[in-house]
Amino acid sequence: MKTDDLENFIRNNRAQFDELEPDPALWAMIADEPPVRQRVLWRTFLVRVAAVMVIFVSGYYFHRWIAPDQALTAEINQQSPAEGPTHEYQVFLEAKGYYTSVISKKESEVFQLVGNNARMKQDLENDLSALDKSYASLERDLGDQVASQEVIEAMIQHYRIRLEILEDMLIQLKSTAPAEEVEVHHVL
Amino acid sequence: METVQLDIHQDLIRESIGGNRKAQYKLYQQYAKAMYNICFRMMQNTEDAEDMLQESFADAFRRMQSFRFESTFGAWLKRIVINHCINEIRRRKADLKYFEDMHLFEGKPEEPVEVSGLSVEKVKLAMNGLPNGSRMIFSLYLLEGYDHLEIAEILNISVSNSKSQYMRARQRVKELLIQMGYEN
Repeated sequence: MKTDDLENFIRNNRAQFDELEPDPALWAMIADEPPVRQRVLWRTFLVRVAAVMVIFVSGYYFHRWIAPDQALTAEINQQSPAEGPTHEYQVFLEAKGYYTSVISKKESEVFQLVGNNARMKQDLENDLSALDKSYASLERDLGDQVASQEVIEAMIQHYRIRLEILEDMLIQLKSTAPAEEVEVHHVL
Repeated sequence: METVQLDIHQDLIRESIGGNRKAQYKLYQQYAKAMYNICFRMMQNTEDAEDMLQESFADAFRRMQSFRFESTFGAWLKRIVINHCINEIRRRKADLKYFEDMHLFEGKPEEPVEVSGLSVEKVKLAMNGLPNGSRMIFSLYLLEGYDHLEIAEILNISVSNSKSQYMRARQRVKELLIQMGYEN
């Protein structure tokens, strides 16, 4: 496009078009802002997993309350050390192996995308650690009743949700990738 | 493509990537004014411009680890700012308006403008007389330095539309300047 006097005038006086000054108070608001999107997502994750735990524990005790004898018999049948692990428990172990492996890969991808952002990385590590503690605590509480059907289903559900949220998080992190295709000649 | 210019803020950028707020503040000081003026040109009011500036810097600092030094930091940041403004305009479902009387414009010779009588304030006043979408094209091309291919991508329009709207906007700015009579 052929340049003309108006274009030349604007280009020659470009700096004068940036005469407005931002409010000095704006920096304080930027500096105080946490990485909102990631934290919201992570908190959602924790809330969802916590909800599964509550449902699972309530379901277990409700089951025992309405049919104590039946539940006790089922537990004895399923958990007798002499008989070894039940079929359901073996299925659970296979599922656990699968989910643990996939989740580990997804978590590595998430941490890779978070990169060197120390603050975000620390947040994620703290939240994951809290989640792991909660899960371990649940396993301890249940003790030798881990072979019951409700427990197995709840644990698999836990893995599914954890995996689902990690996948959501990866999509979100990838979608916020910067405009790397920006041409290099827009030097300010 | 031109040679990548060495970014003079490399150390600041690396420290900012690690979450160093002092380094981020120095970058903010360096770029806030230029980015704020872009926000104002896009949003046309102080309140929205401040919101966009705040969101853009917060977003840029959140994802600085993905800055690869493939462009200057300023160009990378500017694109984030412009994308935030455009997304906000779209979120509000506020239509961008463009010149529609293109048939009247075609073939019409552009008025010559006396540079000696021009002032930045008058040009800015004349720009305010453009439909908002056409004004954005005019600003993105002349003030922000984007080409029509990039403008087409930013505004989700065709390259030819960007070019013709720009030429129509330039002509309209000249007409408005002539109407003002370059008065002081």
